[in-house]
Amino acid sequence: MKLYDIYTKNSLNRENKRLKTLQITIFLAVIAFSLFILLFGTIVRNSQERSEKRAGDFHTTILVDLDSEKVDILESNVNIKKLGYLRKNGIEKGFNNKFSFNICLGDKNYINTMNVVLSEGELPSKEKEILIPKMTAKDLNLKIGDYLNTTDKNSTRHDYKITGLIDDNTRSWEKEIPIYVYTASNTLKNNGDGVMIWYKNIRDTYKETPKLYKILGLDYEKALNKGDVGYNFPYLSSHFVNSDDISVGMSSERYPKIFMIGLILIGGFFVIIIKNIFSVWEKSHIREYGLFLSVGAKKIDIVKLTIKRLIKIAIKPILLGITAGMVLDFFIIKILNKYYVLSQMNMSFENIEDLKFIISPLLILLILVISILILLIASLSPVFKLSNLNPVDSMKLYRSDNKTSRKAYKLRGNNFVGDLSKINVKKDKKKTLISILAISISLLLLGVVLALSSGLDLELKYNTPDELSYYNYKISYLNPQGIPKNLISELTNNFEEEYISYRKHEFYIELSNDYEEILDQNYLRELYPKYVENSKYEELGIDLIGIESNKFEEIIEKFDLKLEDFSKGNECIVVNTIPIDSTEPYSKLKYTNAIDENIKELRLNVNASSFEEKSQGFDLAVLGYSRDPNILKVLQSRNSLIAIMPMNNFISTLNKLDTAADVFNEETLYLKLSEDTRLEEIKNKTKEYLNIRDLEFFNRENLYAFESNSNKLLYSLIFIVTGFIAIVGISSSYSATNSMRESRKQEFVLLQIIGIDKKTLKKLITREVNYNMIFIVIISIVFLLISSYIGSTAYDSFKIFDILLNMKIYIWLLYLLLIYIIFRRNYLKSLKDIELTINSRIM
Amino acid sequence: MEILRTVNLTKNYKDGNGIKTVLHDINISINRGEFIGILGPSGSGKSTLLNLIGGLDKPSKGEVYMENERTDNLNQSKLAIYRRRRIGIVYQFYNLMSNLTVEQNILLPLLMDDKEPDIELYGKIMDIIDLKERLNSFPEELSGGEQQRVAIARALINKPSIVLLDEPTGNLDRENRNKIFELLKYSNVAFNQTMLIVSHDEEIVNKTDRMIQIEDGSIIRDVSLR
Ligand SMILES: Nc1ncnc2c1ncn2[C@@H]1O[C@H](COP(=O)(O)OP(=O)(O)OP(=O)(O)O)[C@@H](O)[C@H]1O
Ligand SMILES: [Mg+2]
Repeated sequence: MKLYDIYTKNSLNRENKRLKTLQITIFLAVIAFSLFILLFGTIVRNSQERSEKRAGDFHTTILVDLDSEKVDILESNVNIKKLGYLRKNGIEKGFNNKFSFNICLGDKNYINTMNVVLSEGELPSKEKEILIPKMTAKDLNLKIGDYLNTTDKNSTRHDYKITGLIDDNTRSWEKEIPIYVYTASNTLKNNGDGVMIWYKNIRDTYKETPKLYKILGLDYEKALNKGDVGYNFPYLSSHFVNSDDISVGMSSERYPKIFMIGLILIGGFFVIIIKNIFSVWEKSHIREYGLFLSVGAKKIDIVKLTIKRLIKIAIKPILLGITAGMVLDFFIIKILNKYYVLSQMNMSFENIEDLKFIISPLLILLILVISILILLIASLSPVFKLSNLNPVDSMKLYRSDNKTSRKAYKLRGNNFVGDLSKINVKKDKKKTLISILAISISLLLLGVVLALSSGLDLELKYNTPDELSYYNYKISYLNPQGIPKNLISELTNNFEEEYISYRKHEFYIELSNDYEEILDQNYLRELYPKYVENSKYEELGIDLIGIESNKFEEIIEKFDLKLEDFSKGNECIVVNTIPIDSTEPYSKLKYTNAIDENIKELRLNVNASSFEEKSQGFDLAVLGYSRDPNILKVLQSRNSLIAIMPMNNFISTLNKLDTAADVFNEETLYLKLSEDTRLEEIKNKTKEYLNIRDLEFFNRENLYAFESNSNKLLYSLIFIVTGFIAIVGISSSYSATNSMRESRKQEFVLLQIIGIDKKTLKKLITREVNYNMIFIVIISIVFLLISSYIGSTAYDSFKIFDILLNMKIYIWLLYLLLIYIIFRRNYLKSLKDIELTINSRIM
Repeated sequence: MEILRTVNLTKNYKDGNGIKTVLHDINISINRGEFIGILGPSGSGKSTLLNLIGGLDKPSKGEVYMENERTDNLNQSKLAIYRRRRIGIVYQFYNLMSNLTVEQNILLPLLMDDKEPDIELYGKIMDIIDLKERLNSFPEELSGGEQQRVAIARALINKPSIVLLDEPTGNLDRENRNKIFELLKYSNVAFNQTMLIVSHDEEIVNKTDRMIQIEDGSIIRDVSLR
């Protein structure tokens, strides 16, 4: 065995240059994997942590009146790891304050899930110890260690000791403040009304829970329909546990798919490149292997030898690649965070959260395993070929790669260079193809990245609703109470400056309306089916908007209407415009009118007819139609009509509908103030009137900053990916030409001996490069179209040609040019390599 | 009539222990139509000499004259044309282009110049190398002797003034050796070509007109055998 070790060592020392290409490629591959896996891991881990922070780490809760029999069933279930018992104890009034408290009793396990929202103090661990929201403590001027006094519905007084404060997003007007009270498990086991469950295997959640319902004598389907099943969707979803039956908005089903596709793409890319380099490299040793065989080596020795050598070659780049990948990952996350934090700058009530840099041994192991797997797959076919090595064949002087190609091509004296280069390209099609494939795939990847960034670019330019294009400040007031007139007056310099303040809710024009009748006949035939298809509902949507009365009066002046005309409460003005094609991007929308303007009454419903739950509809009296889609000067949804009415009518209309209980709790005030107004100023004035907890402030500058920072974030990602692909592609084109050059060297020397002159030889080489390049260009054009197609599916407002025309084609061309230059230069280098004075002895 | 002359032809190589002289002041004069065998132990400088004459390598010192024209200082492209039109070269191994057929390989020097072969010569060569059925085969399908016959056919096809052969029969059997020698001899006689053949094969050398023996980079014997 020692012989092979010596052979390996010598060959590694002597073939340093070719080795380097292989090693660099492996290095790049490992970096790509590390980055992909680490970034993916970071995003997944961060979302898991965030969901745990928001929702806790339990798997599900079941509302069930507990008794010892049921507790036995639960505690003896082998699939359950942990149980937490709870009881909703109803409302208790604050003793001498206006608050009501929603009392939740929980045992140790239950209370422990609050750890993630605990912002100060400790979790309660004795009876009558509680957690209360931080804001409430502030409102009531209570500290940790103080007592909260309440009375329950039997007028019994309770004194709870505060051990900790939790983050909770209750608004100022929410009267039922959640309070968590520690209670011993044994008490709750007898009188609890719910149980929180942790399964041994989180994947059992959706399988075991229905079974538990059955054993406990509960109707799962009914609970599901009522929305009573307490799955911890964010947590489950962030751990890739998704139900087949229950569709959740934040489903993570796509993640593993994206991960796998990403891995396969990167993996396939590198398998091809590494396989290519490796097999060319091994081919150059075939005669030596034949020699080994002929002096008595076994085939298995040769296979072992190659694998051993590959391991020796790969170990350094793999380790270096992982390290470099981690370092790069660290910096990329830093860059991302810079923009990420900036992009959240104005989200006043969201906690600004950094992406955390995460490295776990598991991830590194995964990278290692995948890298080795890739290497194994890449080396499989060359090694397999070696294992079929025939000593006689391998010692042959002339070899052709495809034994089937016995076809002879014309070689004419009057087109010697053209014909010979064509013969070479055709005869070595397979070799050429493999070399070009790697480059082509990098072109495809580059194309996809460019197409996606083109789509993003278009999306930002034409399809991003610019809320603050007319007004420059926005205040969101999350409270059922209206924004006081005085405040508006003060902010707008006694109504001098422009503003609008409104609340909004989505409705559907009921199918009980005679659609044949109400739709404007001219457009009915072409527009309505298209519209239905795009909105996925059978009926037209209509956004009901209640506008602060001063402003409303101003608007209706144009219609010769007065506020009194709206005294019955259901009168409105319909903005009768709808996009001809709502799949068009926002800024390219063309409008038409949808409703026949003779119609004086429309029946609306909260729900579309496809909703299972039926709700009561109501009639809207239409006093006028407007054809100005921009009547409010704030961009509205493109799929709905708009109906405007005075704020008071709006609130009373919604109050009559039980389904819309708290959805209209947001009023938005838009202001057009002079540019030198400071956001701080506005905040301070507003705070004098309203509770800061119910407010969110935006200004154009920050909104733009938010947008531009999220763009920078995306663009920096795209930039990194593009750069990396380019590096890999270029290095692979380098190695591809190297290997082609290598295989031609001897022939070029021979041609010179026979008497070809350098100039003709150069022409011959250039011709061959050009043929390859033409091939690459053709493939790349196809790939460009494929990429545009992918881009147009990702950004479906834009067509393939929009994407294509908006692409940064110059990057593409630059890249092609670079490949061409490398090809040519590298190939022409062989002219130096085959200097006769050096090579006359190779014969 | 003299066709080739070397004057004080010397070749040095740098190696580990300094400069090593492989050829010392070689002076030979060769007449048109001579059939010369070059003999000598391994490493004595035979291949080096052929390479210098063929313009594949540059001498460290000295000159090569071909028909009284100096060739060792020609530029690259002139040298290429010199090799293409006036010299045929055959080595022991690897003389063929693997992507070209037997016929294309034979015609290669003519194709480079866009010339038609001499029909008579082509026919004769074909008769002797006996590969009519294999004209559309590729080199990898031929035996070693067949490959070598193709290489020699190629070296002769454009009627070069001088044919340089470096152990062309080294790995062939007697029958093949004879066939090749027959071909060389025919070309030598029919076109008054000069043949310079390096060989360890006494039998071949004995059939030549003149024998030059080299040892340690110097000519130690130069005798006419006719
Ligand atoms: N590039 C080189 N560098 C150093 N020494 C060289 C080089 N090329 C040839 N030599 C040396 O020159 C000497 C002559 O070599 P050459 O090939 O001419 O011998 P040869 O007579 O053809 O031998 P053989 O019969 O074995 O083919 C040898 O000793 C060889 O080692
Ligand atoms: Mg020799």
